[in-house]
Amino acid sequence: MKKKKFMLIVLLLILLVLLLFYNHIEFGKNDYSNSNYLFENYQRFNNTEITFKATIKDVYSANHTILATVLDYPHTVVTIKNVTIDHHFQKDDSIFVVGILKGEKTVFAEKILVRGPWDDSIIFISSIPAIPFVLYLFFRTWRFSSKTLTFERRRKDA
Amino acid sequence: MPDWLAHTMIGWITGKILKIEVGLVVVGSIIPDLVKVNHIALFLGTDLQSFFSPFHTPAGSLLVGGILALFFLDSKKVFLAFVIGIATHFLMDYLFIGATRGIQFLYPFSWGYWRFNEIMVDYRFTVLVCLAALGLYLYYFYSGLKKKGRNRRSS
Repeated sequence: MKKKKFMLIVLLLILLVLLLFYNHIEFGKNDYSNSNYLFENYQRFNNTEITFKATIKDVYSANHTILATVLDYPHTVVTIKNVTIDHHFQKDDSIFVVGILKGEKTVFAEKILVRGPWDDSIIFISSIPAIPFVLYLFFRTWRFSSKTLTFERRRKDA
Repeated sequence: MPDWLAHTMIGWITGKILKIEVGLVVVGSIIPDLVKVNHIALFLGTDLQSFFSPFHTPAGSLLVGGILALFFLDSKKVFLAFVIGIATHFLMDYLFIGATRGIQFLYPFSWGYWRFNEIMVDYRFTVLVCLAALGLYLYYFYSGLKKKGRNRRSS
């Protein structure tokens, strides 16, 4: 491997590590991928569109309201209002909610998607065959040379 | 968010159609999911999502793709193939939701999530993509056989 390439790898690695540490430090202040952060800081996100995954705890059809437990720890219980009961929501249904945050632990639903009980497991299981598929496609054409520390083509005509 | 099989199949289809090294495009198509390393951390009892989440951003993925591409002789060509694979991954995650809330396209300048629409995908999407890949494979297979036949006849 050329010295120039080696230096570039080191530089990019440093950049990547800096990015990871920057994210780690700022994550709590900025990222709302953990839904709990949205509900803890509801003043900041009030009247804005939020999304989160939850499990239905109770359905109040007459009030168009759902009581749901947020999937992220510590599993805050939130009230989802303005629910169009066109779908037959049931207790323990896994849902993906898009809505407007209205005060503490209250969301006005814009859209609720019901996730199947096995959806996450199916994603995980169907991902497994992808690993040998990727390895086969890659190593069919490339091999690692420990002499040059680079990947080289297996066949000239590939 | 489609599963890895759908991501890799879309990478394979893209590579085949664009006539780019499919092995590299397919590897690129799963680079953003390096974020799943966190599952190992979760298994070991600690959540490092705050540390690993940049992998699932264009900035993080391009950095990883750039580092990997430097281990090849023709780094520029390989990087381009990785970029196309990475792009297919983010396009799919942008179009469909499921396990993620969207993509942080402007990270680290903005922490906002972008998504196209609230379309949930499940295993049926994977089946559809696999069928499309199979169709394309058969097309290339039979057109290759035809070409060979024509070459034999002409020689």
